[in-house]
Amino acid sequence: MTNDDSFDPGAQELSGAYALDAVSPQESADFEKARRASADVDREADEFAETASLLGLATTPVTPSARMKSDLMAKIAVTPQRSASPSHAADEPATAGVAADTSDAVQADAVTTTGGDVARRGLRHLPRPEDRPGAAPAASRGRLSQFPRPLRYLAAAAAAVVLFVTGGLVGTSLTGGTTANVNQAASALADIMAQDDAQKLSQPMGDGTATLVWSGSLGRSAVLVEDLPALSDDKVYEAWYIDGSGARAAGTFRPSADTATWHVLDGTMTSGSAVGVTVEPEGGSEQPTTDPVLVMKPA
Amino acid sequence: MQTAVMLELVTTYRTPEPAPPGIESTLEGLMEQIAHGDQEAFSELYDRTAPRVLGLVERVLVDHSQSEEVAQEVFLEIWKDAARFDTRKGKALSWMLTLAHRRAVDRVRASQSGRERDERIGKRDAETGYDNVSETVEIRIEHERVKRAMAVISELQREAISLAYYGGYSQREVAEILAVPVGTVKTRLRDGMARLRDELGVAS
Repeated sequence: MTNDDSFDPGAQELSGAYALDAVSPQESADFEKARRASADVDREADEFAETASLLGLATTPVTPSARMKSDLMAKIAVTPQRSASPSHAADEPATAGVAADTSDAVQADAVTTTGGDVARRGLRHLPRPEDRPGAAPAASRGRLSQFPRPLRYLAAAAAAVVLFVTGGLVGTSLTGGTTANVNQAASALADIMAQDDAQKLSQPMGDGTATLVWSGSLGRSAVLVEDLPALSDDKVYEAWYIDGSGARAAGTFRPSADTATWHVLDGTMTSGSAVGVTVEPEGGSEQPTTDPVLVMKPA
Repeated sequence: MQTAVMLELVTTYRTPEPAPPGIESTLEGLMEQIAHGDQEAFSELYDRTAPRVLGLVERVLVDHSQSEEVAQEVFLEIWKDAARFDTRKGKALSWMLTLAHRRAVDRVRASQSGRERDERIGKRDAETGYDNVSETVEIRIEHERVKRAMAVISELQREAISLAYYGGYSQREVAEILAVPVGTVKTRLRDGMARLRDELGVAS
């Protein structure tokens, strides 16, 4: 990658192909050089980019699966953000051949990452190669250090959540609950899965399977149930921690519209506790008033 | 400027969930919140744009599960790079769709199964109404506008642009498919985009 001002005048002919992502990395670099050298070429590139995005708007919208969102919310809860680029970033040469994000720990996640030749080229807002952690600005490092564990490990945790999802265990209760609740739950679930001592126990329940995931060191757990039967509007499911001293309420939840419902339990899971679920009047009860529909006891 | 109006219309497109009380944020406003780590804003941005992003990615990739993977990468990147989004450079939705298209094309180029995709594209084009998402009036209008603009450019230009943008082919591949020199494709793409830009009222 050179930084001199000379460029191939023919490269500006690439403006159409460039806006349509139909150029090779070399052609892309050539065009970007031409663009930096000429205000006219630059303006045409901007206009063509906007034109291309209108072509993008003309495609038929496709509804994503609910799983895609719960999965994504769990992931962002453990994914640090990059800081804003310095001003005039757009004027700096894009460096082909260095993946913008290959060194992010998130790379290790379960979403397949591709070569990125097109995405890493000089789209003005896109990450630049100097964003690699070694070159991360202080603000970015500050954010990273908020995470108690090495990022790579967190990434593995996020991957675990994803695998969980693709394994068909986690649906989502996005339809119930507010966004904030969903975010918190997704984040809590990711936390549990991130622990070294995270464990999982499954047992049949009705026509489906109930699964308990927990971390003793974190003292938290979540219950995941496939095909949880619907309830009338004045009833909710309520989770409980049960031990020798009785049952402690651990939050209410409703069945998800999807095949699986998950609930992160409130309060602390102590060693030797079992987890139970009962049907209670709306708003929940102080103590269980019905027989449990589910009891799970970690070994 | 017509384009700005159009993008505005699309920007206010929402999923049928009830709007939260108070003023509805623009996508640009949401991006600003997301840049500060606001997960709830991210959730809202997702709800309002995911069908558009997935629609574009799936148009290029055809395969639905691969498309969800790529769309997810796109949103994860939006989360990571929200602070890099600059309103002075354009609309949030343009930024997102530009990113989505690049990621989709990356996946196509990295894929070892180009031939399979070609076969699926052939199959898809033969099918009508391949997805059944309900569309807002605004989106239908904008479909019509782009369709009309595409009808105005020459057949050869349309063919080249469609293969490149919706097919995810490079100009070299387009040249092979059409059995014409690369230089010819380059010119068709550029002239065609200039014509589309004028028809759609895009001006900087």
